Amino acid sequence: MTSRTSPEAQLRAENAELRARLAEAEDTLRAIRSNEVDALVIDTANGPQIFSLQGLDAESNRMRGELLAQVGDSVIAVDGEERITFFNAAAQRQYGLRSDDVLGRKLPGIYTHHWPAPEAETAKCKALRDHGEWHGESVQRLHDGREVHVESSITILRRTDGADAGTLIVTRDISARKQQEDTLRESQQFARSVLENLPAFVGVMTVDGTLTDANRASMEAAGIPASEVIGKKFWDCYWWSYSPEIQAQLRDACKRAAGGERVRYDVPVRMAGDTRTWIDFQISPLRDTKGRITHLIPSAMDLALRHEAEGKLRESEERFRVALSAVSDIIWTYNAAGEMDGEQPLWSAFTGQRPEDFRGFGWSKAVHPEDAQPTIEAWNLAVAEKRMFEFEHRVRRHDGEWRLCTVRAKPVRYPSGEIREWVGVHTDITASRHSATELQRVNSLLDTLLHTAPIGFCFLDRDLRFVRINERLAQMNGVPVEAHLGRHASEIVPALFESLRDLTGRILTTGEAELNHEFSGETPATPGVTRFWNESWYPVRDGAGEVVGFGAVVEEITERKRAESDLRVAKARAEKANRAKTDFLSSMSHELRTPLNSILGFAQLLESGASPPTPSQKRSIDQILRAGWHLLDLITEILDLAVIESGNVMLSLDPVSLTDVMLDCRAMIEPQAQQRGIGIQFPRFETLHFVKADRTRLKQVLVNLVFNAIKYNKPEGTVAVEVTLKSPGLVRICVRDTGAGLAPAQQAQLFQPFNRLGQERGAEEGTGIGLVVTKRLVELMGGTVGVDSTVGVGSTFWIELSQTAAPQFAAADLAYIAQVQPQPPDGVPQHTLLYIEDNSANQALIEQLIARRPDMRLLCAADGEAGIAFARDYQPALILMDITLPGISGVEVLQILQKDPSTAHIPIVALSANAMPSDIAKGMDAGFLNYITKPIKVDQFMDALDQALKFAQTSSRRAVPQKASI
Amino acid sequence: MKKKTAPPNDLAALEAAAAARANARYVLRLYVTGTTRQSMRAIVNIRTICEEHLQGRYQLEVVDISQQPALAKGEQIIAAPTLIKKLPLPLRRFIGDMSQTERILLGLDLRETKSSHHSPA
Repeated sequence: MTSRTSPEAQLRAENAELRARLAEAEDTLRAIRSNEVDALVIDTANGPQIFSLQGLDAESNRMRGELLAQVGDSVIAVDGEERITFFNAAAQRQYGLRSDDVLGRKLPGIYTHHWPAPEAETAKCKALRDHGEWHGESVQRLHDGREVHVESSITILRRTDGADAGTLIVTRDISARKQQEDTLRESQQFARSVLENLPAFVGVMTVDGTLTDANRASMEAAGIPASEVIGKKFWDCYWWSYSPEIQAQLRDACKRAAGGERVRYDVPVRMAGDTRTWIDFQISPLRDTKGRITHLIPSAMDLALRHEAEGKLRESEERFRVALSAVSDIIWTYNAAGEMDGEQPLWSAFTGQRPEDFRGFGWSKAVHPEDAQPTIEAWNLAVAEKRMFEFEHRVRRHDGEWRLCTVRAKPVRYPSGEIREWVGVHTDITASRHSATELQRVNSLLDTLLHTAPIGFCFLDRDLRFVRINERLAQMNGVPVEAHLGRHASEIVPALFESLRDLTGRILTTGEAELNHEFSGETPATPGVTRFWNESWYPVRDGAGEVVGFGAVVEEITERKRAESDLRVAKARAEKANRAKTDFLSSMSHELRTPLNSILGFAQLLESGASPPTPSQKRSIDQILRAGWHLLDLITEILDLAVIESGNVMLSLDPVSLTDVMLDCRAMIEPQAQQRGIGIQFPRFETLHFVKADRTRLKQVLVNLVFNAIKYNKPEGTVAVEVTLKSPGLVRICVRDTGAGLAPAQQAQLFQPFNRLGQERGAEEGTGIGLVVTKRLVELMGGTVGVDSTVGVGSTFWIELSQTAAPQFAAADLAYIAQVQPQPPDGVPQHTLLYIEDNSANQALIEQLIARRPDMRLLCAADGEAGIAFARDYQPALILMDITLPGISGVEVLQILQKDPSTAHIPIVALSANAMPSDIAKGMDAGFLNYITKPIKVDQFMDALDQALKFAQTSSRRAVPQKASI
Repeated sequence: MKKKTAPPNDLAALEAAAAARANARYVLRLYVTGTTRQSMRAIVNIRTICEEHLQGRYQLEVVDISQQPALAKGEQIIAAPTLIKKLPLPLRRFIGDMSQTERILLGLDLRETKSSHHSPA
């Protein structure tokens, strides 16, 4: 800027300014006059105000503006050069542009058209040209690149004079609708392709039965083109037209379907080649959103397919049912609400509840009252939270017993996640819980047992470390139980370790237990003291049979060992004492007998010497002798008693025949009895009694008793010996005398040594020891002795001994006997010959003889008793008997056999060396069938046998009358 | 500092000024009253002019004084529509619906006339 301005310039500038202003004013007036101005701004006292010049137009303009603003579609007006002259509110929204910004711009700046096809654009132009308007769809690409589907109406605006005033474009965004249409088309195509590819038959009919569509399968199966069926009445189509009845049925079905019913039935259709196929056919009405039936949908499935599917379903159901029944648990179902309904066969079978009982929540009645409420609470919780239910409660079984059960239930869901039903399982755990409890109880019992046992138990592993040990053994070791565990045996009991190691080594080698080994040594419990244990060790194996350790049972035997050694010492001492005693006794005996021998010997010499003694000398000698013999008896008896008392008496207890002993006794006693004038009666020997006794000593006892009975009797008195069976197995031998009898006081003193009960001054001699010895002997034989007595009547002394069976010959002997004879030829009967003979030479001879007789079998008995037993048992056809036998004589045997009904019929032949006629007569009298004398003449012998056999077979014997026994 | 320069050579200065003018940026403000016919016509017309003659170097601001009459006072608007050329200077004022295209172009110095050679009229 120049620093100075010339006044001219200034004036010129001011001029210009004024001119400009003037021009403006003129301009303004002109504008107003030409109606280009629509408002004036007037400054008033209240500030600038606007006065509209529009007048009536203003209102209609405003209204028009508002209307256009309300319109939902965009309204755009362009002039002839495509400049936007109007752009309504909707257009602003649709295109995202302000009216102020777009007015005057050219339309292509806002969007451009995309036509689906060039023909579409041509059509639009044509329409505008011909009709001045066009309506259609197109795609607009907006200024921001978006593409929108639009529906537009384009109208040419004309002025009253006909000239173009521009174009009005009303546009609606149909993108959303287009999207829906596309989606719909897609789903329709999808549905269509599904239908087309279904193996089943599907079609579409109008309500009046016109087929509008059918899937490919239906037409292919029939071998017909679509044109033959589409548009026809369904029942007139190829599939049905073969049968008027079928057509009528179909027509009726369509009518019913049109009425809203879903019709279904099996029917044959015609397929390609005029074949028939049965189908499962149905017609379903199709409704629109308002519920009106718009179409009928016929569909069909090959029946064969359905049958297959049904078959598979049945199979599956059957499988399920079988599985259910095989399961021992109770399976049940609840509906979605958590209630039991329908049939619940397993629940019913277990609880006995019927459906009306368990329905709803009735099942809770089968649950124990104490458990029912908690169960229901937990169940409700599970149902509400839709998760698995687990519980334990007692359920009542149909028999009334409460069973402890665990129960689990899980929900079964639809694909959508909704619960369809619940499936649950009850498992009866009563037994297992019980056995678990039992097991626990047993375990704790075993534990207690182990720990409180008075015997030591332990278990060591293979390395000989303590794994388990009970209290007792720990005590023995002197170390607490816990201190053992895990420690090596050599640490706990070093003194015993070596033996243990050897022992366990042996166990490993042999695989066998080592039982009852004695261990000795010290333990920490009692250091310095050697103790003893009886130990049994055994291998402990695992499931595979491998030895995993060693078990032991340990018993402390220190005390016992001590007792044993004490006992041994005592025994040795006693034996020593006994031996000393025996030695003493025998030496005493010898010492005593020797002088007595002199006394008696010389006295006898005197008595029977060359010069006979004088009567008074004889009397003296008698006295000496009597005293001497008495002394001898006394010594013998005392020594005997001493021997018995010292326990050194040797008794052999065998079956002894009473008959035998009595006969011996009688033989010994008879002279004494006769001398004193006492009658003796011995029992008859009908039955044989055997007792368990020592034969010699029994004889001694019997002699003692009988002798006493004789001695202490009254003049002309009697002694009776009786044998009775006191009870099965007990034999009583009574010796009854008619003596003075004994008072109870005397009876008590009977069995005392040297107590002769006042008989010391009597005529009879006695040692006073006899009964003592008798008693001892009987007791040693396992029997008892006693006395019954009445003063003035007499006394009965009795002994009781165990009965025993007759002595049996050893099987070996019998076998030998049987072997001797050869088997007879078939058809020849064999007879048994019983030969009673004690002499083995004689036996051998007869054996040889009988060997020559195949019809005879020899049986030998060595004495009378055996012979009797054999006769009874073997029932021989014939008996050959030696008369002179040990024990009972042949005659007596004969008598016994003849008295016994089982043997009475057997002929008995005597065989004897006594050949005197008197002997023979005696024998025949006795009852022998025949009497053969020794030495034997063989042919005579054989004849006698034949004779006897014949006799046995033909006649029956008369019973021989009994003779009085002696 | 005072610049001592001789008064510009008229022709050269004119040409320079003309060249400068050819590149000048225009800032225009159009005052309208709502969406009346004249207002809209005014917008369309002025925009057309701008697009044709000032492509890329104009800024058109549309102000609606029907809502805020106070805005009119600052520029001493007395009638609407009114266009104010704010830049380049000098300020110019046009009233009407802007349909007088020639006059407006002249007023915006976008038309060369004989008189413009001499001095800004």
